[in-house]
Amino acid sequence: MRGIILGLVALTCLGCQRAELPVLSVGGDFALTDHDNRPFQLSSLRGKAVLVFFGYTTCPDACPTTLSKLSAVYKRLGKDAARVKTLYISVDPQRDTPQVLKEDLSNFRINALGLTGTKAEIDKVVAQYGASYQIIPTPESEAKYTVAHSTTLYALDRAGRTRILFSYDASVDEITAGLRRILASSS
Amino acid sequence: MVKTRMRSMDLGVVALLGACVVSCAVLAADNPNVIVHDAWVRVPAPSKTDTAAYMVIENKSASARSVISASSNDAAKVELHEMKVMSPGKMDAKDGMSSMSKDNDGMSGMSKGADKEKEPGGSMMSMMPVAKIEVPANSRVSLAPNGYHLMLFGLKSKLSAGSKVKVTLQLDDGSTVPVTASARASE
Repeated sequence: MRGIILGLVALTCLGCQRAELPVLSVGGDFALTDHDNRPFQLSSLRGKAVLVFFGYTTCPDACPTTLSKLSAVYKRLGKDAARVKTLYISVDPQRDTPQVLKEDLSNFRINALGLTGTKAEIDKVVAQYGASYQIIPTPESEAKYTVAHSTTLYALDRAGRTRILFSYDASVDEITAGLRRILASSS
Repeated sequence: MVKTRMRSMDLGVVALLGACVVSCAVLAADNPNVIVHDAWVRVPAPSKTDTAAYMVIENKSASARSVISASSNDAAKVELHEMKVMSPGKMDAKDGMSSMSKDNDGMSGMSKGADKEKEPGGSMMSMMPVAKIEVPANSRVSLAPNGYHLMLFGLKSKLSAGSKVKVTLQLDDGSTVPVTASARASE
């Protein structure tokens, strides 16, 4: 009788376990140039959870907002912060040289790499991740052109697979919880 | 007789000049019914000389007012800008970004699996110059991240947390509004 009860309890506990995060179809390995002007391959980060988002350093709002949010996420992660790498991929390689990216990221306390490359290299990664951007001329402005860009924050597991897509208004709590799930996952 | 006539003419010229000075001063006077508070600017990355300014503009008059331009002795140029958010696929490439409502597909936070995967990039955001910022009568407008803001180009000195930046708003009735914004670190 005791065995049956224990068995039922065990089965119930197994059923209670959170469903695994789905492996999403977007994403995959890619090669760009990092903010130290070195070749970078996503697969070099195997074993770490990875956050990926697209932006540009002249962006006054969306990108600093995301980076500030991630600063708070890293603070919440505490000792797990070293297990999560953020990749900030520029969609404005004309202005965002490796040096500019590195200096921009120095404003934020996050474990991050800025990535840039040729337009063709960046467009390939944008397509892989289902992201989008457009250079819009603004000749009437001092900026000369602005860059419209998608705002999803992609969370990859330790095998480099995309598991979560955070929308722009995802909270610090939601992002932190999602990362903890990825870090705790065995697959 | 000649000396008296000349003195009368001199007095007339002086009176005319004085009237011009007074009328010009009135045209450029601060608007007592439009008040700005909570003004702040982001401390930009070390290599950047551009940043965004935010504030609350309160119109206490019975007439709507518009900010039509801005200037600053602390920057080479100030422009009025707006961050526009669009759902994916609705960008009008012909005229840049059409004004669309903020993305409210309800997909905040964690991925919703298949639905989110259809448009993995999420909302697109873009910064665009605008001709004016309207402040309705007896109301207020908040210039805040992800909405209206002033873009300051060519800052004349490095900013750090607590630095003050002075800006003057020019309104559609010819009046002005002085603003003192405090610099805030990005995170």
